[in-house]
Amino acid sequence: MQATAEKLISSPAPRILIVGKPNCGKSLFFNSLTGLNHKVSNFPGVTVEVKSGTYQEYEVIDFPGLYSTQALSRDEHIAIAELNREFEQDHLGAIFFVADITCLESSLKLADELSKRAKAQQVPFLVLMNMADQLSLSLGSAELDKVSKIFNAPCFLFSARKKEGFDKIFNYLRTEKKNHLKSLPVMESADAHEVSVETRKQMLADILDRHRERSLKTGFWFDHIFLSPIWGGLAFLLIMTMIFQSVFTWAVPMMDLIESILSQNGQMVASLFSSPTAVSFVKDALFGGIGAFLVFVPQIFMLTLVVGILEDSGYLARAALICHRPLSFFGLSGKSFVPLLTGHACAIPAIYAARTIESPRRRRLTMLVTPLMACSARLPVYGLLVATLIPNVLFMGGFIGLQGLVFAGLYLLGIVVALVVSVLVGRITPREEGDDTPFIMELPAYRWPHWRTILPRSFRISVTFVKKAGPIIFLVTGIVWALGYFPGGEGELDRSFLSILGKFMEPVFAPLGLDWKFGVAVLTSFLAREVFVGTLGTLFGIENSDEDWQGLSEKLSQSELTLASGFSLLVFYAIALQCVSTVAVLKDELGSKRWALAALVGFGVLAYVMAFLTYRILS
Amino acid sequence: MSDKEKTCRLSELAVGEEAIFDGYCGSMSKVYQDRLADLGFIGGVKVACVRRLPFKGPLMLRVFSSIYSLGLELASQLRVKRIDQGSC
Repeated sequence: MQATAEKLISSPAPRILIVGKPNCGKSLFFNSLTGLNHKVSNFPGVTVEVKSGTYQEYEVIDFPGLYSTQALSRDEHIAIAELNREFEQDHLGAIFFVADITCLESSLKLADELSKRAKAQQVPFLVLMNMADQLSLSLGSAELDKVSKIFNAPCFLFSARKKEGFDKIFNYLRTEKKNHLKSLPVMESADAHEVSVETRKQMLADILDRHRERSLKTGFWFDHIFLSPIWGGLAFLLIMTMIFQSVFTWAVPMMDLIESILSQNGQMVASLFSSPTAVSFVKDALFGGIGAFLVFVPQIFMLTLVVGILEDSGYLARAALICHRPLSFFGLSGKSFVPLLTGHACAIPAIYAARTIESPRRRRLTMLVTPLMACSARLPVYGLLVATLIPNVLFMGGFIGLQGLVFAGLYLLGIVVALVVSVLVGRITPREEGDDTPFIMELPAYRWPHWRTILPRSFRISVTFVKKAGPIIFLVTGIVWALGYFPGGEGELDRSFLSILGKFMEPVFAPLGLDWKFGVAVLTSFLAREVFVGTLGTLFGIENSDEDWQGLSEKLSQSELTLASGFSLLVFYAIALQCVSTVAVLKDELGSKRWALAALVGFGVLAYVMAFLTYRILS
Repeated sequence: MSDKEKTCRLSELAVGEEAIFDGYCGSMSKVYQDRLADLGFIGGVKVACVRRLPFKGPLMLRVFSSIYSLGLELASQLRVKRIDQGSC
């Protein structure tokens, strides 16, 4: 006992574990304490991670949400394994069990399990009741004492959103630490564990019901609208439209700003060099390649922002509920909805998000078809080709545009192919024991999303995307530029090494109506599909010495790209799995090279066949 | 138990109806029994049917102040005793 106490005082940074059920406000509490903007959540839509930061003299660890110490889904397995590892660490300073006071009873069983372990290791265990600001009436000290007795642990009211009640918690912890050194354990109290969990839950309900009447009523009325057959369906369509509007309309001012900054800087940087080779590199490889891709980052930011708002508001869990039955027809689950929606931003976090699906079969199918969603890396390709091929015709007073309709069609194509693939793969793969697990989901309370978690998360995802794709694009466009520039130099693309290589491969792409330049762009984009625009920007830049994105679209329309070959290219990009990172993540998450390889080859062949058919039909 | 209480499947509850959770019908994996117990589905606990999603979609249920959604197939494996009048 003395040894444990010494460990506590000698440790330079006692570790505080923040644990609790999903969506109880752990991450907002963690972000408020540490200033780090990490999101750790277990509801569909977010990668399961364990994050750490510092607050005063403590190291704070944020854990993904748990329902129990017995894992059911893959994300819970990961979280529980990590929690067990933390319990084995020496300098565990305290466990903060965060619980949502609006549904406190549901946390009691998990709190019991964890507090027993904490007490066995003589670690302070505090129950922190979040969302105190949601109560209609404040909880009196006598009631708080009763709740503490029911939990058999000191309980505190706080609000992670309003940053209220933090001082009381840490003052108690410091006082407790002193007591800890005198006599351990110090928090054994009352007779709580002798009373059944159900009885104690009822005792909690008796204390809390009159305080949370308002939040229960609000939740009921929101569900009445969002889950009703008519209004719910309309709200769903409206929200989905809003998501795509945010990508294609609201992001435009930011895109224009980035484009103008890049354009000005491109001219300025190029003017610093006198060597034609250096000027061509800056203009065609650097600004023509990477610049064309950076313009689309605001769309990624906007999409993750809107999805984040919906997730934190509690709506996405309802959307999963609405979609459960329709998706079941295709061998998927309601919980597949959020990975599939997130897949429209990036397949990688979306594949991680599928960990929350308990059924191995449905999880595998969701992960396999997620890369078919029109991710943001496809946006630059779609944007360039649609702007090139489709005239900007507007209908209904400018409310609907032909280009927008083609865009929507491409998104729909990805979804339809994903559903068909899901059914086919589901049919041909043998069923295994435990494959068909039941649908169980807790619906979080509705609440206002907080910018402190959403805005920094969207920013982080956008930066990560640039960091991840940037080096690959830089490398590929650099190589493409070098192969296209030498030996002839600017304007001599037809005599370049790239021309020799491209013409050698031309027979592969000829059935799709594509010449060697597009063949090279398709081939280089198997590393990452957004490379396509950069490669074309570099190729046409070398040929024509111009670098801006709109210029590239004009050049493409003057090239040999016809409507039929352009659409075959669009269909190819809608289906092919051209992302090395996604293949690697699929391999890890599916635990099999075979599945990842099957997805890469299968989607590649399917894309080629469908692109060929598109070309033949349209020409 | 009063005479009004009748045993039926959870999936048979009408919207707004309350019942007492009684156990499982047929063979349900212990893992899922445990998870349901973690969520509060323990013998003697009151369960209320809040909403039924259309086209045989999932059920929304309230246990204490928490709202859960259970697939219809799963709900049909859970046995409850009705509190309100009605027949199964």
